[in-house]
Amino acid sequence: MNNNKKLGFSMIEILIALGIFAVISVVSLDLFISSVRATNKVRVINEVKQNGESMMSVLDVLIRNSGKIDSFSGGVCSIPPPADTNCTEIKFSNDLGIPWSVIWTKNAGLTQNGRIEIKDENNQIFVLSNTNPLSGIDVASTSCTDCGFTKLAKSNNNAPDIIKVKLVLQQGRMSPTRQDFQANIVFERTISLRATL
Amino acid sequence: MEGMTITGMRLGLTSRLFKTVMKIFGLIHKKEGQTLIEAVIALAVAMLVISALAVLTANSVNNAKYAENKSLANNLLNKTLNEVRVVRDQQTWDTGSTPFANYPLDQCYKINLTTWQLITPGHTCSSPFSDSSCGTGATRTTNCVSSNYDCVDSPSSITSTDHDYFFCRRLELKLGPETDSRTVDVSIAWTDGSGDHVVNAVTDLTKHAL
Repeated sequence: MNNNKKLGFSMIEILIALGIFAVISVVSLDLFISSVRATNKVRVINEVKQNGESMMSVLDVLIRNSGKIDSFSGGVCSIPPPADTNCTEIKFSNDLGIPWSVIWTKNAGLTQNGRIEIKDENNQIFVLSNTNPLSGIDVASTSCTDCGFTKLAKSNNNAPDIIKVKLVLQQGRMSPTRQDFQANIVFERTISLRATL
Repeated sequence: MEGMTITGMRLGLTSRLFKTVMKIFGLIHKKEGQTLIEAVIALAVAMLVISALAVLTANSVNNAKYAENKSLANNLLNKTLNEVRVVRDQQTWDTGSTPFANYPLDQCYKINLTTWQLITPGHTCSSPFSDSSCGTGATRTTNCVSSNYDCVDSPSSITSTDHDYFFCRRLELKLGPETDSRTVDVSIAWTDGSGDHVVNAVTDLTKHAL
């Protein structure tokens, strides 16, 4: 009986060992989870950024070469003043007088991302942003008080018009709601029209 | 009977072998307890494992932050290049009262977003450029105002009142490669847990239609 007791561990030894093991396990697990979440966060941010950069560069070129501005409208445009501030639509006409417009359509429900669309003279719509609710981007309408299309003051009357585009891009609407699957990136461009008519 | 004896002998051999293996791997407690060298080795191994985990986690967090900051800095680079392009478009190239081509070359500039002009402090850009060029702490904003650099907001700020002046920007104007062109050299610097970083972009602006 005595011999058996000497060969085994005492209760206090087992408890201490278990305690140490538990502490190390919890710390290790926490570190592992943090690492996985950081990786997820970087991946989501990169995806939103790449999608956003692609969309903004196309929008940049389209607006810069757009001819002239016909009107600003939509959203909280001009409310409160100044005029043509934080709008969701700009109508242009090119050098042949053909109309086209850029539209920010806000998200609807959990399955439809907010998106940026180009509408041509036949009212045909081309979507610039990735609309996939899982892997795409949501041109978000919440948490941004001064987003949209804004006409900026020019240096003189003969100078071309200037448009500020400010959008907040987030992960697709159907992405997991966990914090590490969420991105919130502000894209802002100040674009001057090159061909003033 | 004979078979049972043989089985018993086999069991006895297996049991002794098992105990030997367990002793070799230290899984059976010895009467005299652990020696000092065993305890020291065990502690060293534990410390190594914990240190490795801590370093891995710190690196992971730093890399995540670096990637996020670099993304924001690249955003600012693009934003700045666009703003300079607007300045070019808002002015005549080489005629009138404020022609773009008349800005002195090899100078550091700031952008006045209200009048759409470059502000020239009349100072050559110093090199090398880093985040410390903008100063640190409470003096950072003051340093930027009095120097040739801009403290610029992180574009992640959602509201216009959220000023953190997280990045330092340098904008230099140089002679372009062709007639009637200017080279714009923009750098954005910042400091984070993994050190000082700079991203840079260069573009050429040509004479516009006006």
